[in-house]
Amino acid sequence: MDFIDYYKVLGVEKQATEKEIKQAFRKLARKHHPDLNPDDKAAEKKFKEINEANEVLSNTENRKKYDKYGKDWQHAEQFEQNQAQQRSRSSNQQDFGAGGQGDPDFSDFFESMFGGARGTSGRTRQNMQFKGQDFQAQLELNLTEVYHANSQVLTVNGQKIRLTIPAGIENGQVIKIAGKGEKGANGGPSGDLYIKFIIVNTGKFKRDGNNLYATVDLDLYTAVLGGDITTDTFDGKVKLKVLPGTQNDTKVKLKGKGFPVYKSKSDYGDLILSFRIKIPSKLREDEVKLFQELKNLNENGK
Amino acid sequence: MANKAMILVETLSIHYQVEPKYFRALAAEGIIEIHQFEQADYIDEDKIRHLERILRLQKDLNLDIDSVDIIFTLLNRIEGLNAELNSLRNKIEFYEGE
Repeated sequence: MDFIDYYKVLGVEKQATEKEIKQAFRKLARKHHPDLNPDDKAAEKKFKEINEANEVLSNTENRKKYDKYGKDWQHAEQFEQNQAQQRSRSSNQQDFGAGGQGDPDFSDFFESMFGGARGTSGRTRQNMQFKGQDFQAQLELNLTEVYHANSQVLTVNGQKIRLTIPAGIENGQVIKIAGKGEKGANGGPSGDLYIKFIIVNTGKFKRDGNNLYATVDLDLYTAVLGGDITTDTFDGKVKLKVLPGTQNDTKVKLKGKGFPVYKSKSDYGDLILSFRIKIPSKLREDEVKLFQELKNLNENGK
Repeated sequence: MANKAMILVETLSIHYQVEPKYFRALAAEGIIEIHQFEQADYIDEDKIRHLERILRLQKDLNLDIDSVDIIFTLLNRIEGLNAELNSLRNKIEFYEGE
């Protein structure tokens, strides 16, 4: 456990007045406050640091203790005992109660010196929480897994949660599971669980919203003469008519053969196929002859 | 009321150590909504997270109600832009793979 220089954290001198400490805290808090920087872990970490520094330096008793024992925090215990003796002589001692559980908002150094939120005065950030903490989780699924509604059992903070993921969920989409976060304080409602979905796609179908895209290789002869081919869709094969004279990169749209529309049971996007015409590269002698004939028929290929 | 979970303003007032009139001031500014049933004030349970953000911002940054309201307007815009950004990122990924 390392010593934390709270003056440095707030960027103030050791002799800073209460007002200067408050100003420094507010200035940094305006920049790093987690409510102003949602989903920013770095800002959250920074805010915890400056909040902790403020809890110590803006409280006369904590600051005195920190200034005296800060670098030599192991001896703070003795200081505490002395303080306790002094307090027992005075009446109307305020009981901060609570405590007991470790406070993740504070560092080990702070816990060791001040005993978590108990050591702070007045309304702490803990009092600001009636509804339990929200939990954040991330779930990675393959594109094929979100083509159909998907049942999963997740374990979040030791709690087993069964959920059905609707088909068609997007990469990066976040869904909220109400009441599956931390339990509330004083009978307050439980927090919520937020799950962010990372959809991995390594298959041949590319997804853009509800539409799927794929490239289909087409032999030169079918492209020229037309014909029937069988091609893959996301959920099986389909027979497809190719028109005579189909050009390279011609696109055909297969309506309703795309990805399911999120939370809509019967709607699907489209599948757009692009034809890539394969030109034969190794011709036999008789084939060369026939191509030559074709060329001659068409006035030297014009 | 029958289907919605509501929390008594008085309960919140005790927990957050703020006067009930504070909640009424927020409601008067249209920042939160207070529902009245049998002469008691209630706040939608779904809005508690929002309320706690207001309280934290006011306490930590020493902001007045108007400033908090402006912040939420901007945060909502950021949320909308982030959703758009995510959708555009997915599109870029789509074209980069071509």
